[in-house]
Amino acid sequence: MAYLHDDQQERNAKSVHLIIAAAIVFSILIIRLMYLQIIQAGFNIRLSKENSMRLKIILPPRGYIYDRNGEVLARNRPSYSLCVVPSQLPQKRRREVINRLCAIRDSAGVAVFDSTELETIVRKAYARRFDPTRLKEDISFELTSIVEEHAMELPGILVMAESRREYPLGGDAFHVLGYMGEIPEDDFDTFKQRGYYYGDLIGTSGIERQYEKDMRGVCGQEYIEVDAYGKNLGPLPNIPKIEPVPGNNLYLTLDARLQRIAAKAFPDSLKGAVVALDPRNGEVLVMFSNPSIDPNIFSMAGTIRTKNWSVITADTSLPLNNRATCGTYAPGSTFKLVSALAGLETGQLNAASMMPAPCRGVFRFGTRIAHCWEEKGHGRLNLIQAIQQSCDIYFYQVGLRLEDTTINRYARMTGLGSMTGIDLTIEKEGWLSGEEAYNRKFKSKGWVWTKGLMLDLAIGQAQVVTPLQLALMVGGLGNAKALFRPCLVREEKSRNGIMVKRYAPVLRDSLVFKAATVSALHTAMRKVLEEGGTGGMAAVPGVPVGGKTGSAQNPQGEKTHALFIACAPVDDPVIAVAVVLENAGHGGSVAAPIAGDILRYYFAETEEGRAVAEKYKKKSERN
Amino acid sequence: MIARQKSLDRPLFAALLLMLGFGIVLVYSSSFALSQHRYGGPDFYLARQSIRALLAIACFMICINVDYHQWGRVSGIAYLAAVALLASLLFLPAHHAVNGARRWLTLGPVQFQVSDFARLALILFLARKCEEAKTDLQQPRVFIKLLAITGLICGLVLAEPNFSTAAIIGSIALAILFISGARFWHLCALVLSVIPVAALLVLRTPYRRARISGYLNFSNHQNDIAYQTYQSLVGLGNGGLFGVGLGKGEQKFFYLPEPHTDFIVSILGEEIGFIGLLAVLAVFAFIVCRGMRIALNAPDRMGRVMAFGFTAAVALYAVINASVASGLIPTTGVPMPFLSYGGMSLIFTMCSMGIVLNISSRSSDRMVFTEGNPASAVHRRGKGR
Repeated sequence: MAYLHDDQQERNAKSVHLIIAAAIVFSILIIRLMYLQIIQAGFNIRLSKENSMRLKIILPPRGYIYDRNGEVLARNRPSYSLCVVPSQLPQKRRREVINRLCAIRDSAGVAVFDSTELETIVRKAYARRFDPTRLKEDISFELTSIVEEHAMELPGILVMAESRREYPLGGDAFHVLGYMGEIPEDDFDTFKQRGYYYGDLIGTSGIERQYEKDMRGVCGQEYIEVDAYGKNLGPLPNIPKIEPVPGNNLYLTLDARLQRIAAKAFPDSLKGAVVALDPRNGEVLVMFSNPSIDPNIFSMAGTIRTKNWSVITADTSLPLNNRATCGTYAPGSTFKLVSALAGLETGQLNAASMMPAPCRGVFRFGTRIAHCWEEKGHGRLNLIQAIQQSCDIYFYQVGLRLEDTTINRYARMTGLGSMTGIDLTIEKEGWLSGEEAYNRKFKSKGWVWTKGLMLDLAIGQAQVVTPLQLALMVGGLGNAKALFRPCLVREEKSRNGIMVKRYAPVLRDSLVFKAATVSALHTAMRKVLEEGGTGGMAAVPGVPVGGKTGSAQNPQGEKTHALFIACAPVDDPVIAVAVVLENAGHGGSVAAPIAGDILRYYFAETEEGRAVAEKYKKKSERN
Repeated sequence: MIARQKSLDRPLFAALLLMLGFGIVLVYSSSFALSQHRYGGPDFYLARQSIRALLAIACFMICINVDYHQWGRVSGIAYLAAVALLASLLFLPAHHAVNGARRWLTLGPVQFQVSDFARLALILFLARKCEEAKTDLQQPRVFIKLLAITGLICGLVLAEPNFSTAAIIGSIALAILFISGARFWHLCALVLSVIPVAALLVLRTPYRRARISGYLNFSNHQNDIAYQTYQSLVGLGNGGLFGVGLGKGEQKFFYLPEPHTDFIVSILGEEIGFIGLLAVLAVFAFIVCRGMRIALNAPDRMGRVMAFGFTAAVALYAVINASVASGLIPTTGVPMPFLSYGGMSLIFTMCSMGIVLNISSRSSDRMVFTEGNPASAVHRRGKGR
């Protein structure tokens, strides 16, 4: 038995090792449990409560946009998306539910869902199993009712109501209103601090962007109790719900009717812009840019949106650009009004002034031979006639009489070459040529200013301006007293109609011109639209319209840019219009008719315009 | 063959039945919500577990009454069957895989983790081999032979892939070799050579690495990889010292995924608190102590290895499961013996405990038995250590 005794000792020794090891492991486990269950107990109880609480963000309804007459320009429409909440869709029934969805056909008998596509989305949805993932956005009402009817057979599938932005004017007012888009990934952090959530839409351009914070409103929040499957068990009783604050409605200065007229009159195939504003207060009545996009496509389902985006971004005509504020064009002959203004104000010209060299179609300055657009020549003209017939040779000589700085001073005074200050985020400044500016700009090319460049400057071929600046300028010349900052928004009201903010006209500059200057310009501008003038197509019966055509040569194409600016009534204008069409030909034949359509509609159909037209009718009857 | 000299270890028998019964209660408490959600009634899991428990008791009783040497005799066949089944898993079509691993085999109405059976078979086979080898285990040739037997099973389990189970089986085998008298430095060399391989295996596999990083950066992964552990800790903390009461826990209401299987300890801790958990662990400790005692007093090497191996398996599974549930170690799918839902696992465990009880009935506290060869003992003593 001795060996057994020995064996027993050895076993005991080994078992002691094992027992010590086991005891250590057991102690660690028990200490850990003590830590979790006794020391940290309170902490974890709180977590257990938070487990069942979920913060639900309630998005506020976005403010509407109205025109000056109360017509809706942007509103929210209800939209329904079909969603899957994976936690409520038992794995076993996934196949079955997908098959059921694939069996749904629309009124044309085409299957609404593609089985593989659906499978992919549902599989991906499991990454966020408690949250709804969209299967199809913006579904038809029929589909909504089909799904709701069969809710029992479609566990985990639900219809989610959303709000989408809708623009009744479509492409007619795209650039000024803007559109809604997703928050850029890079900027998300800054937006997050301002109360935005992932997936929120923001105003990406135009008014939607400029007045984003006014129209958005404030998100509400609600704590709801959910089980671990994300099932809503109702609101938590002791945490009050915070209602969202709806965004404010905006009332624009825009006139939807005029905007439509402008869009209709503008040839679809041409690029350019139309701006109309009220020179008495700077209120913009029309702002149209072509080519345009229907902003409603940005509120459509993601797949359609993506498809459209790729088309838009590939479009070389840059339809996203608002050419009214960002398109910079040589003003061409429309600038002759500014040259004339400078000449008249400095005493270098008067209404009857004639230039030494009559127009023979060509003008020789040093080694340079400059032409008039009228190859036959205009002969001897006074200032009024020169403006009326837009004689280049007359204005070459005006340019030679004046300093570049003088002309530019009057150009800036009337709003050209600087930001107008309109309430849009993106605006171009334009550029006024002159000795200093020219030498600075072309330093790298080694070009130097010469007096000969004054010829180009005086006829508007040296500088670039925006259509909005042109409208401001022509309105300023007509009004001759003040220049107002262009604005797009008149009032901001809360959803229940309480006035939040009124945007008063902002005076940019007071204008003080000699009476003779003003009357000479007005006469000349009126004559442009009369027999023998270049802008007759813009005439309005019964109302004296003053305008100026322009056909600006440009490096982009063979045809000239067609421009037309006008204000009416010329001596006390209530509306100023600027029309620019790229590579369209002559201002008088292409641009003037568009301005004419707007002006005629304005004086015939709008209350404000009709009142003015009445006054002139009475005046002429009295005479 | 030894005559039955002593009745079986009654306290162990009682403790095992207690755990079995408590397991059913716990499975019901942790699964009724899930059962209601998935199968439309609260007792789906309860019913199935009860039937399996009855089956397990039947197997248990059979094992108690069958001389454990019989198992030693069939262990070779069992071992070969285990190898064959594990190998067949590798050739199963891909759709049998659960999360990329082929671990389960369906034979008619029963579905089981092949590694559970393999563990049982390996312990039985090692017991027989140790009995045959006697003190030769100190010779490298014999040691390597036993190592190869273990390595084949571990390798196949690893190939499923099931890293944690392979590691547990390997550890049990190692412990068996240790108590059976293998040279200590052999074992050390083995452990030191296996550790880098294991580390490499863990780091080379994305999901294992994810679990490790979820474990190390726990607070950053509460909603993804460490979600289960996080919810498990919430449950344990919620229970506190005395628990919220049996059946009254909240975590099983879908916060804790699969509350009735691998994370049942969390439900336990939530419902009966630290005190209750301590009591359950004490019963485990008692079972393990009794099992070790039986191993110590076993009439022969075969009995000793069997009793030790089976007890060690229960101890390791329990400790690892509780450690996972309390966030001590990275998540791994190891059931809690007796308590977790899972039929075949329960039956295998009860069988092994039945065998241990059978060994107890044949052992003698007083060391009065006739088995054993004095010559071999002298021989070993002669060699010295």
